[in-house]
Amino acid sequence: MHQTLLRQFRDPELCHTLLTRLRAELDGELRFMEVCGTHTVAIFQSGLRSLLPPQVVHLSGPGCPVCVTHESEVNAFLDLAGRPGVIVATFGDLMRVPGSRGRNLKSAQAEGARVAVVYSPPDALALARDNPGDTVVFLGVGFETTAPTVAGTVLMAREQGLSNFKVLAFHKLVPPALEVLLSDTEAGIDAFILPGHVSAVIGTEPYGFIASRFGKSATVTGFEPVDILESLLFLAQRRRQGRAEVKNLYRRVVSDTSNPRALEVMNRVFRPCDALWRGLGRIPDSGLEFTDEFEDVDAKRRYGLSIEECPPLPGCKCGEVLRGRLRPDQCPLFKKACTPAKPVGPCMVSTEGSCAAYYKYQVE
Amino acid sequence: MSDRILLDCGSGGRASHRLVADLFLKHLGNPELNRLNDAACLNLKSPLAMSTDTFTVDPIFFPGGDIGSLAVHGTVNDVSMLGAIPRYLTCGFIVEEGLETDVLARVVASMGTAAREAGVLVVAGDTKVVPRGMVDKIFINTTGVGEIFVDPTPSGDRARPGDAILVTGSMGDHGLAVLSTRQGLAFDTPVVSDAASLNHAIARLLRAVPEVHVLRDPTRGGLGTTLNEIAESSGVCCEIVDEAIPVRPEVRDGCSFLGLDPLYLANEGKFLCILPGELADAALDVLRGDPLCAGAVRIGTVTDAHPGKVVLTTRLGGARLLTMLEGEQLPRIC
Amino acid sequence: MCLAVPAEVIRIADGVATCRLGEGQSLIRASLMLLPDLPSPGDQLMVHAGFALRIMDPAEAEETLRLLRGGECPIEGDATACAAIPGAPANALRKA
Repeated sequence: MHQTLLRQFRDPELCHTLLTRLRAELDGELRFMEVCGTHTVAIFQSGLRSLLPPQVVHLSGPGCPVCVTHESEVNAFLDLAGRPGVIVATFGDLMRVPGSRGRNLKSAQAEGARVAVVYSPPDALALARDNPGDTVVFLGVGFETTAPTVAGTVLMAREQGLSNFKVLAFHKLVPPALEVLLSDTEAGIDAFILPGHVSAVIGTEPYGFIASRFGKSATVTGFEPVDILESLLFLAQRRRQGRAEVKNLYRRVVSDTSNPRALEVMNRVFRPCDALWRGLGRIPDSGLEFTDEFEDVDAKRRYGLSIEECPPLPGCKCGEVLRGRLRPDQCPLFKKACTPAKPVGPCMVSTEGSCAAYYKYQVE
Repeated sequence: MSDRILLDCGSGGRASHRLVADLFLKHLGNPELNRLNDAACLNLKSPLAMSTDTFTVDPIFFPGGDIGSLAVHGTVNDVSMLGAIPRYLTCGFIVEEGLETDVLARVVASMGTAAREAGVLVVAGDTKVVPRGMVDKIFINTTGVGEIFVDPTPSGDRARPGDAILVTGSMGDHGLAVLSTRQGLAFDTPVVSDAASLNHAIARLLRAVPEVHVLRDPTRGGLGTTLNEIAESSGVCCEIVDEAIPVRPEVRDGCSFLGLDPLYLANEGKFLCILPGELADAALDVLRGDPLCAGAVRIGTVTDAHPGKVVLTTRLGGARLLTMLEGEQLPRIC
Repeated sequence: MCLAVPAEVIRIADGVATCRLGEGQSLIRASLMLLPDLPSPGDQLMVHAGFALRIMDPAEAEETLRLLRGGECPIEGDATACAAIPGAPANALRKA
């Protein structure tokens, strides 16, 4: 596909036409939540947020796998990172995420832990090959987009006979978390923008319940300003029409059906399990654990790591921000006790967290 | 000389002397350094600008440069930013035992070339060799002094509302070039570091337009961090226009792939110039006459709208903050 | 949540595509292990964390832009799921 074609999805002129049409379409407040952190950042970084009509209320959901990685899971990473003979390989995203005692991988590294930032899971495999005397443990975080890449790497490791490659897996699944958000009647969310790249793997069918059971509209959409505005226009239109619909507006990347090969790889290596989400708590069947065939790769089992639920952080309103009940700047800790330098809750932790985005981009 | 640097080479004994004579004097020698006295005797007129910087870069040879030339460019540029002509450098090496002598020779030769091009003399030096693993190959400290030739000197707290903000070329080249060579990254790019000494360009600019308020080189932390420092110390708002900021397509694409922002990537051969708005065109004319600053453009204006903040107008015409980064940027997937 | 970049396939060897990134000459490599169909040189892949997740469809991109520029938006029909918003008029579904 020509780059010029893709560039048109950023065309300022088209965006302004869509903004005009959006304003005409609105007949009241439209409260929308984007589930995906990449959308959060795109909305702020492009400056789109400052151009949205005032009736459009933008709420940011739990859509960043780093944000929702539970304190207790981070504690397990940190526990592991200090062990002799272990090299922890991780996406850069996780380096500054604090555990329940405020420590993070950066501080673990300063204390002597061997931590390698990699761009992709196969880079961790290369690390295992280069360090045969050590065990390389990859920290598996991410949603349905990333879980198949980790699963694929586990298959590669087996094929190459690399037994010193392990994975500490804390993957999360999006649809079960959406159910939790939708069941919250207090938030008053009218519509959702669904994660585009998760959908590239699972397709759009798993989202049907948003309209059929909860009577809300939702779109699967891309990350350019034109994509986001098209979605808002659609959602406003459906609201005015009194219709709830789930719609794929990212057809250049996503089809309604899943990517069967990616799911097959993911389901061979992992099976669903209950998982802890930072700010949301335990959600049934919203995580992934190793299937019996691959239990030898499971770092949790290999190192006897236990995941203990810990009490929510005092004063932190992330749970309410993630559910759309509260805007980041309405939290009493925002910019005071809670900053990107010293994040209290998950929404400030990652670059894609909604509080971090407010902090970074919002012109007062 | 042995083909690897041994602990003996930093002992002060014969091995040290051989290293100095065969390697350092060969590439960096000049009448003052050659005297090998305990200190250098400098002939300078006050007031003086002085700066020091320590260089650690991985890998030590990267597309467009190496740690040796970088150690010269970096300090030459820092001294120049105060409106000074850099004259003398000192350099201190900390070398890891076992480093190939050839590698050290290439680094020192590259320093020599960079110093000659910049017109500065290395007048004092020191080398320590430490056991394997105590440093990563080689660290270099350089300290530079230069003669200030403008009054008042450009300074980070002198930006005033109405000033124009200029940059001398594309942002992020050095940062991306270095990142792309990190081991294991499945990413090849033709982008090379922009590392260069800017002293000649700055001297020409300040002679033509001495009223410059601020000169800064946006090294680590990039344009975003440097503008924030200026906004804070001057108590003003830097308003910049995204579309006006030069970024190579390869740098932009590389950043989208690695999840980075080019405005926070390091530059080693560009500078930022803030001066009264009515002088912007004259300054741009002078700058564009220098090949290192051929891409000079105005990227924004200093205002009093949001004191201490940097506000970016996006391509869509929206506004957002450009804040100071918390720490180094790391490749990310989400 | 998941950064993915479009990249054009230049060549394929051993299940790995070397792809051109964006408008310049930067190259990235992506494993094709998660794709149900093998792409061809010239195809645009959506790449995430070293793996291609989908072959992109330029016709769909053109169609989206054509509809938006023509003032139609968004496309009617072929919804994944459809329902009346609770409390909306009973004919809401037909009205659209």
